Amino acid sequence: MAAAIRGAEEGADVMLVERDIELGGILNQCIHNGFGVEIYGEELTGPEYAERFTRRIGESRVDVRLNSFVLSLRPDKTMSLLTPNGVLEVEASAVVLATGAREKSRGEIQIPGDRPSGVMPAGTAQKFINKKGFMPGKKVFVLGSGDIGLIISRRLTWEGAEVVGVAEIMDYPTGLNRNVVQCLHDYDIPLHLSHTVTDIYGKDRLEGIELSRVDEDFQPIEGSSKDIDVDLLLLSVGLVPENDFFKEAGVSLSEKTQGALVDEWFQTDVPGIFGCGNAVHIEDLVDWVTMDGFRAGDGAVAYAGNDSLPSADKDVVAGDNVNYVVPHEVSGEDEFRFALRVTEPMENVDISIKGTDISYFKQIVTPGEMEVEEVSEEDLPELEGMSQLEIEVTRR
Amino acid sequence: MIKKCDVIIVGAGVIGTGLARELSRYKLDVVVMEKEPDVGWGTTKANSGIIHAGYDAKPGTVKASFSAPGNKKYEEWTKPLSVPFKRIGSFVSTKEESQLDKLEKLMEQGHENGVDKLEIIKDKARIKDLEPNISEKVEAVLHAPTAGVVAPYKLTIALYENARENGVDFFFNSPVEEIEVTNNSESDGRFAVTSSEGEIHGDYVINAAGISSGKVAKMVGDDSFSIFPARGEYHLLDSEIQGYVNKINFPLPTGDSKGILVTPAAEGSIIFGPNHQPLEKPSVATTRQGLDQVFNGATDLFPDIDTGKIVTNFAGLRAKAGSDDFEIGESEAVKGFINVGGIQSPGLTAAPAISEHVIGLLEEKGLTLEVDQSFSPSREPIPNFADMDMEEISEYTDDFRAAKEIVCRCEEVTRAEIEEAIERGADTLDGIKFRTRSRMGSCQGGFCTPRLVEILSDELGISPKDVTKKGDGSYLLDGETKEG
Repeated sequence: MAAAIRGAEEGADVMLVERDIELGGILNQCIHNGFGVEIYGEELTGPEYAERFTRRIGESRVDVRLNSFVLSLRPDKTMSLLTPNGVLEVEASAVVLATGAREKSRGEIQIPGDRPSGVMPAGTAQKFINKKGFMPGKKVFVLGSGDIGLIISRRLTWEGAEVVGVAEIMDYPTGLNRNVVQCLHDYDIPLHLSHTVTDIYGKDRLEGIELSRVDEDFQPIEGSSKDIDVDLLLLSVGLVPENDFFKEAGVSLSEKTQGALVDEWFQTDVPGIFGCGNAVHIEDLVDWVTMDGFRAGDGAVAYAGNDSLPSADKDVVAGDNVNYVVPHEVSGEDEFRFALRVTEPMENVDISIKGTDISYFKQIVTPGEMEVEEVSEEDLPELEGMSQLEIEVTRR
Repeated sequence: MIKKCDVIIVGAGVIGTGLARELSRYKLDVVVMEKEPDVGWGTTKANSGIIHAGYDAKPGTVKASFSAPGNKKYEEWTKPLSVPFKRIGSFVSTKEESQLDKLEKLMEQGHENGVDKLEIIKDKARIKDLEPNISEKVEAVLHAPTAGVVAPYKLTIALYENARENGVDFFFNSPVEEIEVTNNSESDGRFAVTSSEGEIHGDYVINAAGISSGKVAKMVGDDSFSIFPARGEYHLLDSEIQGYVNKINFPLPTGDSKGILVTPAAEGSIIFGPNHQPLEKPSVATTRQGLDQVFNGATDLFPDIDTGKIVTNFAGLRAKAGSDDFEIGESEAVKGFINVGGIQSPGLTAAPAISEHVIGLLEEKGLTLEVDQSFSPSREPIPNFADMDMEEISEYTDDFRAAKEIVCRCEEVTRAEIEEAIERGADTLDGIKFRTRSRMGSCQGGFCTPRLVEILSDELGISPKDVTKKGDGSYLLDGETKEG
């Protein structure tokens, strides 16, 4: 919606295609608050946050197509849609893919065991509870300390279910610290770090799980296992960008994030195809997603107008202690923002662009919290002549 | 007594359902009793889906006598039922030149079993040409072009729909509790078969109960064989990786099994598996060790395959008889009771030939086979949106609204397909999955499960709380939230 709004504001003809019956995506099932702190300076619920944008869309000239499914997207930016009125062929000057992400499944993380009902991604449970009004279980274990898992733990507790524990294979929580405190600590829900689920029991419905401690190679430690009786196992083990359309359009993907490789305007390596939000990399806050959307909208309008954008010829690469950084290329002609995740929790560090004086001090960084920094107009001269910007994190 | 019929088949796997369909060609009253809520949910649903060429079985065994003949009949079965079946051919590979004699022996065995077109390829360029991503270390392969792949559950569902269309009665959720030999063929039939649904009488009973076939035989006092269940585990990869593997790839066989194979599945994805684990009692739970074993076996043949594309793993059961062979024939103890037990690999391959043989046996034992002129051999599949081109999509979606709602985004399954699957008898999430592929894609049902529950509840007129994954006890929702 952010990209569409920006496009319409700039006078472009914008079509917004949504598969669901309403705009807003996964925000609609996120009835907890905490959305909008960066943009509005207040804590909104997901639906409230979405509504601020649906209202703006409603007031704009954006051609909204709900219940519409992209059947194919081609590199020349033509596409076929299946809409409630039938098949529609569309030719666009620029396309922004804001397709979000999906949750990892049980199969992807290969938990062995029986295959009963009562094992599902945390977001699926959230949809049942918040959108459909049904409880998927009473005695719950959550695997993964991602934000969805933490928030659903609190929600289930409020609804009278017993959350007997949360396990995290890493030795630190992967969700936001505020969620660990507000969703687990406040309700005395134990968090088992360096633990994972190693077996699943139950022929028809889930009856229990086996919880094991893992060593530093994430392998279960023999003799550390114990059985826990539960009727619901929720998985909050990470998100994967919905990258099918990028692949179809021939866009190059990042091996690290599985999202598209993008420049500072969120343009991919297929000219005129942009990607933003969780479809590029998994973000922590909807506010950042929105700001990326605005930026991608700006880029798409500029591209549609001139058929080109400043050439992004400086590679942005992850240096020491950096897992990944987005964007992957910049022009250096305009101020830009970059987002990164570190490889491990650290204290008192500098995030810097190697070989420059551009540097940002942080007291605490952790892989669970994305770091976003701005390179301002004044900093740009420092980047002149550089063909590669290596972003590194160093301890003081 | 619910009813009296001519033939009672116990078990709706590919064997029982196939027999039912073949018997429906004649003027006969046929009943199938199945303990699960759907067809093909025992050993049938979770195997490699391979129609073997027929060189594996030792000449002289019952298995050998049905393998190559079964393979040859596959088009006869799949074409009229519109079930995708592809003869993609199989490779048995070896990395050691010293093992060449083993390939030759397999080829010889194949010739004895009546397998056509076998060849040993030692030309590495040709091997690479046929299977570009196979390990560089492969020195020679036995190529069997007649081997093929089929989705065993799809085949069984098609056989079921066609059998039902031609008058066969299926009773699901009906585990057989007791079989009484009344020997009263005039009025009540020679057998009285009791399940939770009541008593059904018939003149012939066919025991096609898979894992339970030993147990069912014992119900009439026949203890000529027992089943020693074994488990095979698999990894399934995302359909996106389609095309990376072209052939059914086996390593050289070992004692207990044909080894861990790597093959395209009939439905476009790639599978690795199975291992072979004898079990005390039947279980389809996967194990870490087993899955690792399968993984290592597969990557030995395809070292560079993108294992990050694994979307799920599963295990299937094997109904292995003590003899390690098929147990097919009229029980020596009881006239009219036909065992079709111990059907492990290559049971799927053998199914059409077994079916033909058993029908011959029934006739020999006194069953009158009068051709039913109203028999219709064909069955239309559920229109598959994902396979349509733009023109077909326009036509298909023009007709009705439900065709325009994509429920499963990963596999592009429409609400119309889901509704039709329900109309054709699916009443569980897994039943819908096997008919439409919904929940089989990369998100494994993360997105579409809530909508599927809604559609099932609407179409069946039941509460969402009564919707199950795979029948009784496997409910998804166990109450309402405080606000409902």
